[in-house]
Amino acid sequence: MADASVDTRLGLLQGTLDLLILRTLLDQPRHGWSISERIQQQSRDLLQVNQGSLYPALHRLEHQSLVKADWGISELGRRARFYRLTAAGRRRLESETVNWRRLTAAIGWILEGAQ
Amino acid sequence: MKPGGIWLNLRALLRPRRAERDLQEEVNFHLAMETRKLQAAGQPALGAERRAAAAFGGADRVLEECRDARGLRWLRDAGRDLRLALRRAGRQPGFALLAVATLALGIGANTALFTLVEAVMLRPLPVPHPQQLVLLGDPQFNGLLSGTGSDAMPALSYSQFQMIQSQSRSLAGLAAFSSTTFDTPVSGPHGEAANAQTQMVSANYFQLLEVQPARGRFFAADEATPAAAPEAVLDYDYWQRRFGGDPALVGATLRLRQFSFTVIGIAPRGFRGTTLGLEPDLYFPLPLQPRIFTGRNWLVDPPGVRRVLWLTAIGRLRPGATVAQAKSETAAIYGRSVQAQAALAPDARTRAELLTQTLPVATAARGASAVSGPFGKPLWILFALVGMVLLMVTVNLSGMLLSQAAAREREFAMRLALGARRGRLLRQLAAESLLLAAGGGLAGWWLALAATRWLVAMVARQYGLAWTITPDATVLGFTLLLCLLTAVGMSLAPALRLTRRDLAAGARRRPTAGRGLVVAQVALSLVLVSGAALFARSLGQLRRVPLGFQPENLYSFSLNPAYAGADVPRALQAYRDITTALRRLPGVTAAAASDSGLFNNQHSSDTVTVPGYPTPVDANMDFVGPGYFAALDIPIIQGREFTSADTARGLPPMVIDQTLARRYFPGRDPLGQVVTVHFSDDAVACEVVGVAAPVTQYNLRQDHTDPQFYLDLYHGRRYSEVPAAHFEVRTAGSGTLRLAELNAAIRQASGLSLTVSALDSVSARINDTLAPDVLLLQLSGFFALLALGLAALGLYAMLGWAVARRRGEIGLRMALGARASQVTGMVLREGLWLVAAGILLGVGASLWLGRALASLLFEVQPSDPLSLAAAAAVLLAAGGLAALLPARRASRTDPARTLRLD
Repeated sequence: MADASVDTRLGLLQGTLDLLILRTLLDQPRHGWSISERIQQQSRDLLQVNQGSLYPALHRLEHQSLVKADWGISELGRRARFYRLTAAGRRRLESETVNWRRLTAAIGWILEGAQ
Repeated sequence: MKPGGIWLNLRALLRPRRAERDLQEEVNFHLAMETRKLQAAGQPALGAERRAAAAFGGADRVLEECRDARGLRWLRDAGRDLRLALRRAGRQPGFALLAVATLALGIGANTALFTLVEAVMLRPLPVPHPQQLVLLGDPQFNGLLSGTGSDAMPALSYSQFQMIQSQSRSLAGLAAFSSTTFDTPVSGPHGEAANAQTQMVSANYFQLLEVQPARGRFFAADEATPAAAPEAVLDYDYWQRRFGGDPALVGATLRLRQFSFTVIGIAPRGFRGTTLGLEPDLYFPLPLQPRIFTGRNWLVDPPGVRRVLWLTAIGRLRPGATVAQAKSETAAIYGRSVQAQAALAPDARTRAELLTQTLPVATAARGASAVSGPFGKPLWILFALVGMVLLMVTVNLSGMLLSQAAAREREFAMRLALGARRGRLLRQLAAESLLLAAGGGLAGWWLALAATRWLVAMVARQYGLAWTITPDATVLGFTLLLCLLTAVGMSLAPALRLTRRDLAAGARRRPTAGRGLVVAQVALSLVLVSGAALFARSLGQLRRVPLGFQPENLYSFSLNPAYAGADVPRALQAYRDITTALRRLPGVTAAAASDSGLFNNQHSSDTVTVPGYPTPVDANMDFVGPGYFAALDIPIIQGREFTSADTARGLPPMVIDQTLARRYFPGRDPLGQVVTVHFSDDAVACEVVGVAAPVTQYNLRQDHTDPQFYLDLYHGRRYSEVPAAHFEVRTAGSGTLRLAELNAAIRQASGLSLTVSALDSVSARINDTLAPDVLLLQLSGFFALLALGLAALGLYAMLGWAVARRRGEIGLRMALGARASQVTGMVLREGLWLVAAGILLGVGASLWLGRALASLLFEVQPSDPLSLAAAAAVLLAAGGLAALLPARRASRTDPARTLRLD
């Protein structure tokens, strides 16, 4: 099982979960469960999404028009709510990715300097 | 909020269950997938489900957070605010009822007046591209003029219309319609007769307006010739009302008096002609005029300089042409017609006057209006008045809510201390105000519908119009806006107070905002009360205008023998015979014929040359038969009135009134003097045979100081067409005239099939002319009373609350030896100071606003000190009474109890 979990409530950088969600939607629309599986897979099981935070985050993103949701049929033939990136979501993902890279780089420099 | 967000909110608002179900289904799907995954990894079914749920966390909490995330919370909170507001209203039904009732009156009155303002001033004609239309003539003119004139002319003659129609280049087309509608008897297909409003229009009228018939067709161009078979178009409402929308009516033959015509089409629904206030039932082509009014021909200019002006023209601008172009072009064509007319003038003076004639040209997007002229000004005044009433209601409720808020300060302070956000408290306050305003708005809308119908019927009757209007979407928007504004206005003061940071300290402060509101209420009601007092004084002055004749037991009616086919000598003989027959009717003591009659909007004036005065002077003129002065009880001061022997005289006789005698014959005997009357086509020298006392016979407001002369109806004038006549009949005591008897006697005496019209008691007719003044007084009086009551209530509530708050202080004073009367005096003084301040402010406002009333008042100045003093006294008395109750209650404070309470 995972060692760390992504949870905004634990004070992990605000917006990190949003960034991860947007990234998983970049290649194809997904439903909520698939998003959480995808994050887990891509992070090689290091990150597990707290599912209680996932859905509020999805609805918030939808409310901000960064993602759009439609009902569709899941791979197992059940009705599921699929989320896909909007143009605004795509732009947000780009700018947030740049921000994230700069932030981690900065933190890296600080930590290296301290050693 | 982003558009997507608004859409989601809207969807959640419109279909709350669906949004909720979607959310639940989404979570269920997730749990199912998670369970499946765990099962695939080898977990037993039940355990897998439980673990999946545990990993998800509390489903309810998640659902709640999802709702928050998409803004559903706002909606739920609004629902809760509304429920709370309802519960509060239920706990104080008295206050809620008062608030809704006063708001309903305020909002209803404003909605009703706005409905009228919108219909009279703002609504465009219901035809395509109304902004391309231009109107030739005075848009407010509603009538027919015969004679000559000067300066701006209100209407066109038929020949002038044809001239402009054929010569204009800037107009794509020009149509004309009779400037007024005519009340005519119309028989249906089965012979049943009823009166209908008839308008005559040019054959291209409907085509120019680009409207399509609801049924059948409109006039073709060849109907412009008098020889064509007579055809008519019916108004849609008239077709529905009188004929039940019978489709067979198109093609049916109807009859107007003696002439038959075919209905060829029905005008579209909602089209009411081009003049607001006139609602024609039937449209005839202009060339049918001589057949509709036999004995009159308005299609041909009479010989000489006189013209019949009866048409208003409406044109459509050619694409690219401007109103200014149409104006200058029309002015040139009109100028040529005036020059041709002036060439026929008998004297230089008439010629010079004619040459000053102009024709008004203006855009006609809203068409012409028979109501904005007489009714426009009172409408604005009333609108301002009811606006003030609504302001008053709002201020009053604001004061009430403020004292309530004071009582709730503890509740709010506690909620703030417990961490409630100020925004949340404000929202609850707003919900309460909105609820009251919505209740008031709903009741007000219903009230406005009834009030509008009543007002319009009143105005229509007064000005002899067939006029109906209904509020439209614009009006509904206005009402909603009013509700919102009053809700905001109401909650502003309490909101400011409640959200002050130092709520606890505020509790001890003196209620300055409440005092300010009371002063404002007193000031507003003083303005309204003094306005009502001015209207009352003005009406009193109007009722005191000396008539100069006895209106009691006097009846009046009119006849037109031309409709029965009589020529001029036949008609005059009929008048003599009818007068004799009337005098013989049982219960009748006197009867006479005259031209203008009494108080029926008919008025002629002409110029006369008086010996000793080089230039002719203007004076009112009437033709009257023998016995007129005796029948009306007008005193003859000198000489005599007309007798039946006068027709044998060489010089026609003339009676002048005392005003004319004093002005133009000072110090000389007018009897025997020769005065020349200049008609537009004739000049007649007459001999003065009598001087009568001055009379008010046209209009109470204007004419009792104008000079007037009378000519013999039967001797002096060469009539070019049959004069319609009015008859004045006096009955003994309580005798009344019965229409059927009257008609029978008249037909028998004259040998003509005549029908009496406009039979009225003269007193009733005079009262009718006062109807607008009575209406203004009633409305302003009603609203003044309402305002007075509200101001008193506001003062009472404010003082009552202040006394309750100061109970400890008052108890202490009384414990220290203050007498009950001293306490009463203290509270009373406080109340009266506020009233005095309000009165002072209100008097200032009245003096400033009153100037707008000047034109509606008769022989009363807007700054009339008596009215202002009366209003101030009324307010002082009401304020004293309202202050006395809390003052008495304060004086009955039991010091022992209150001191123990604190």
